[in-house]
Amino acid sequence: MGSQFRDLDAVHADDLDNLLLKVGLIKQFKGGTLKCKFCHDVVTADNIYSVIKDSGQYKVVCEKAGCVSQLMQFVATRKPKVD
Amino acid sequence: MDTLLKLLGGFSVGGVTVGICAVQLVKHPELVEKWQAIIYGWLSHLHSGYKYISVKKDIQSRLNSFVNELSKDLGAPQTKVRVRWTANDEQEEVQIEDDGVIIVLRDRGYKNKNFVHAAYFYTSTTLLAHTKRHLSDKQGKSLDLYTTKKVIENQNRNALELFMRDYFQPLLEDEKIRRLVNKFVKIDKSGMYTHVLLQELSYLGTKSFLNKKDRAIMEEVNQLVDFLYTRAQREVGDTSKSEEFIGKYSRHSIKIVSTRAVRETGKHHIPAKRILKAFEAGIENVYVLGPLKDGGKEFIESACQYITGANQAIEVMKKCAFKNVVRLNREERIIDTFFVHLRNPAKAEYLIEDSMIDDLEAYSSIPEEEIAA
Repeated sequence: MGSQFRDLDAVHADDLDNLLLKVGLIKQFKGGTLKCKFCHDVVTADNIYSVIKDSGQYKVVCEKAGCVSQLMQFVATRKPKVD
Repeated sequence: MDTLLKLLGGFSVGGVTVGICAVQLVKHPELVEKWQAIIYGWLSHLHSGYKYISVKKDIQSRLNSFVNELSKDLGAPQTKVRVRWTANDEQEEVQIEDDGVIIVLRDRGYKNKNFVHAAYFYTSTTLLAHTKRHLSDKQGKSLDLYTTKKVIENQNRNALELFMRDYFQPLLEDEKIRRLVNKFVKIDKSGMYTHVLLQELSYLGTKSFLNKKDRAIMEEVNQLVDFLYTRAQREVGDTSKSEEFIGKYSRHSIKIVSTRAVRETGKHHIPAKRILKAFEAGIENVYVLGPLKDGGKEFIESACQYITGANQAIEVMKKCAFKNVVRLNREERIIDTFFVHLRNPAKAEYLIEDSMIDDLEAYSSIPEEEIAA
């Protein structure tokens, strides 16, 4: 059986500041004003689940069950990328 | 001379052992990754750079190990995972595609949290992606939750409590999801969650519908779940429940073969002919179940041999044994079951037009007596 692979893009928590700096969200993050795309609660280093690019804009999602579940829906609408 | 021969014998035994180990490692790369995760975990105390390899290998080895099992169960290779780090080099540009998602993974101290986050995301977005192609939002979510629970139970039981508390329980507050997941539990106990339900949904995902009738497909999936739930709840020996699921998009049959009375006659052609008739009627897949012990496996295998000999279009997709729960005298009992999946690809429709559906609808509206006549 041949195997297909799908990349799971990840950032290590130690590199989170670097990522947020590069995508222009570091000021909001450090200032405690960065909010979850779905529930609009403040996202911190402790509750961040992912960083996403939505219609050209970078956003973050917190780790609440409802928000992660909505993120899955968001992903379901995009085209699969497999190599 | 004797000493030399013993030495050479020792070398050849050692060589064969090393050879077997090497073959096993090539066949099961996730085993190598599991060890790499442990070793690099230790090394990360000396040099923090190793933390990336350790976390990456830990997640890949566990998820891909489950993917291997699922591939075997579904008889088709499933997509494996490869963790790709981003932003770990300050000089490098960060490139995220539009609609791209980057998961945050933490240090090894958060091993369980990392696994829960990665497993849930991966199962939902990749592993079940085509299986969920025609499902409703709630059906898809229920499948994600239950399958992720199985992945975690199977690969990292320590993380199960975290998943149940943070994701499973909160999402079960939705009545529809709770009802579906409850049914999955029963179906899974009877051994039909992966072997039949995911298999059928996987076939459904490969089919295309020229005219989308989403609601009809979703409704049929609910009927499929209800059918399997009813089968799972049935008492041993109860023949009042239908063995066939005949939908517009999915047509399969679950045949219990090799009950003691039939087995003792040794006439394997009797159940074989029953199964052949189901295929002739247009069934795509027949799932054969029976006892593993007391000659049950041999009896089922003989019946399957008879079937594939009589109709060469029919393929044996999978044979396996598992423990499952049956109901006997209103009590649940765990038994050893032998399972065979037979398929007639000639009966599968991959491009379903409305006219075909209409034909089938017309066919199913004919009273049974008329069809028999």
